[in-house]
Amino acid sequence: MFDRLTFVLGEALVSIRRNLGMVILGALTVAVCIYIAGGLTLTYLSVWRFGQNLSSRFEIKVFLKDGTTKQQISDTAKQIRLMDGVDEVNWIPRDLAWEKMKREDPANTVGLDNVLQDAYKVKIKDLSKSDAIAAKIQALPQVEPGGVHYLQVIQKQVEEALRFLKWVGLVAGGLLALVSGVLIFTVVRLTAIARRVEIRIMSLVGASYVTVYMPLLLEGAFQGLVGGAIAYGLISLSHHELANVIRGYTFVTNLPPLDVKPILLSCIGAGTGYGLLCSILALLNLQKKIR
Amino acid sequence: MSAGKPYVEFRNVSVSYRKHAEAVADCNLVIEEGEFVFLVGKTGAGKSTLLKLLSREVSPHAGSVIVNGKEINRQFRFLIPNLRRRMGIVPQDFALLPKKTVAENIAYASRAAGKTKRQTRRRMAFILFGIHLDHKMNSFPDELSGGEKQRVAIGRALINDPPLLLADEPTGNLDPEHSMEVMQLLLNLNERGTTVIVASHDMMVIEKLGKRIIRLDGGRIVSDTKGEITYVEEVQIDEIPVSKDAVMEEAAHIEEGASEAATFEEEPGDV
Repeated sequence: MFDRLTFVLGEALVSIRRNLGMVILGALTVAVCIYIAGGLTLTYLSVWRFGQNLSSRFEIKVFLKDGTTKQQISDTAKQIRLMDGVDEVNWIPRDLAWEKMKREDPANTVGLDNVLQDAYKVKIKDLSKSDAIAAKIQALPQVEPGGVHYLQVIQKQVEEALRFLKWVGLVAGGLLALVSGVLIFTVVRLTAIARRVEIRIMSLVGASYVTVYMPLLLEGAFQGLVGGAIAYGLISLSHHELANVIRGYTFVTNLPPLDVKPILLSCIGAGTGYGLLCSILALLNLQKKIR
Repeated sequence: MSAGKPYVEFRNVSVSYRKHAEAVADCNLVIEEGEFVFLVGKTGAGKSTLLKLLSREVSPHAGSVIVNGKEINRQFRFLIPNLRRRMGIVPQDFALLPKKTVAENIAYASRAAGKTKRQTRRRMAFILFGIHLDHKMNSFPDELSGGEKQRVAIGRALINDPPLLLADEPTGNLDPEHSMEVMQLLLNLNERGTTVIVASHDMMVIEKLGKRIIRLDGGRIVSDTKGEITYVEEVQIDEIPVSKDAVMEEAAHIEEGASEAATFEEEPGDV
C-alpha cells in the first residue's frame, strides 16, 4: 500500500514539475477566485448580521385610534403577535406615556390635557419582512391611519447592499470560477497529453485506473489546494489591514476578529474540491482517447 | 511446443469503426495454448483489430472474444487492467520513454503494473537476461538499435510473466537482420510455453519460421495454414462476376495480385 502510494505521489510530482508554470498560473487564478468570492461572501455575511442585529433593536411604533378599549387593545396586540416575523409586542398606555413626557418636557406639556394615543412597540425578527408587517398592522381596524412608524430608509439601504453584494458575488465569483476552472482543466489535459506515452505504457501493462489517473487528479487537486491557501492568506491580510484602518475611526465599531479555522478550512476545501472536479472533467473525455 | 486446449477464440466476431466499413467481418478463429501464430495481410486487413480485440482496446459489434475460457468482451471495463496483466502487449512503435534507461523503462512499467520495488528488482535481471540486453541496461533508447528497442518493448511486455503475448508489427521498423533477432526472441518465449500472436506483413521473416499463418483481407480470414478455417470462399462466391468478360478480368486481376504477393502462394491452404 505504502509502495503504491509512493509511486502514485511520485508520478503526481513529475506531472507538477513538468507543467510548473501552468500549475502556478492555475493556482493563482483559483486563489483570486476564492479571494473575491470568499471576500464578498464574508462582506455579505457581515452586512446580513448587521441587518439582523439592527432588526432586533429595531421597532415599529404603532398608534391606535382615540377611544380604543382595553379589550380592543388586547385583541389587536394578539393579532400582531401572530404575524410572521414579529418578535415582541408591548403596549404603551397613553397615561403612562403622557406622565413620562411631562417629566421629560415639562415646558411644553404644562397645563395641557393628555394628547397622546395608546400605542405599541413592535419588535421584528426579520428586517426584510418589516414592510409586509407594517402593511398588515396598518390594515388593522384599531390602528390610526398613518399610525405605523418605522425606519424604512435604513432597512431599504441594508436590503439594497445585500442584494448588490449577492449579485456582484455571483457574477464576479462565477466568472472567475469559470476562468480558473478552464485553466485547471487545460493544465490537466496538457499534462495528460504530455504524458501520453507513460499513460499508454501503463495501460498496456495493465496498470489500474487509480495508478494511471490518480496522479493527474492529484495535480488538479494540488492546484486548487495551493490556490485556496493563497486565498486564505489574501483574505487574512486584507482583514488585518482593514481592521487597522477602522481602528483609527473612533465612531465606527471595531472589525470582529477573523475566525481562522473555518475560513482556512473553507478556502482549502473549496479550492481542492474545485481543482479535483476540473481534473475529473478534463480526464473523463481524454480517457477514451489515450487508453 | 505442442498445442493444447483452445486459449483464444473468436466466435462470429465483427467490428466496424464506421458505418459500412467493417474492420473485421464474421471472424471465427481458434488459437490453442502454446501456439505461435502470425496474422498477415495488407494494411487495413484487420490484423491489428484482432489484437486490439484481445487487449480490449476495441470491442466487437457482434460475436464473442474468448481468452482462456472467459468471454472478455462481456467483462466490465474496470476489469480491463486485470485482463491486460495476463497478457503482454508489444506495440510497433516501441513506446519507450526517451529519458529513462533500458532498466528504468522496464522498471517503470513493472511499478505501474502494481509490482513493488523488490519484485521489480528481482524480475529485472531475469528479463534483461532473457532479452539479451543485460549489458545495455543503463543505455538510453537513443543509444539502441531498432532491434534492441523492440527487445526492450518485448521485455517490458514480460513483466507480468504473461501466458499470452501480442505483438503488433514488431519488425515493422526493422531491417531483416534485426527482424530475425526479434523473432528469435519471440520463438524462445513460445518454446517456454507462452502463446504468441504476431501481426505482421514481413513475409521474408515469417516464411523462415514455419509457424501457423492466418491471412486476412478486408477484415476476413482468407486462409489459415492450419487448414481448419476457410470462410472466405462462401463470401467470394457472391462477389464473382457472372459475365465472361468480367470473369476474365477478375482472373487477370487475381493473377496480377498473386505475382505481387508471391510469397503467400507457397503456403498450403491459401485461397
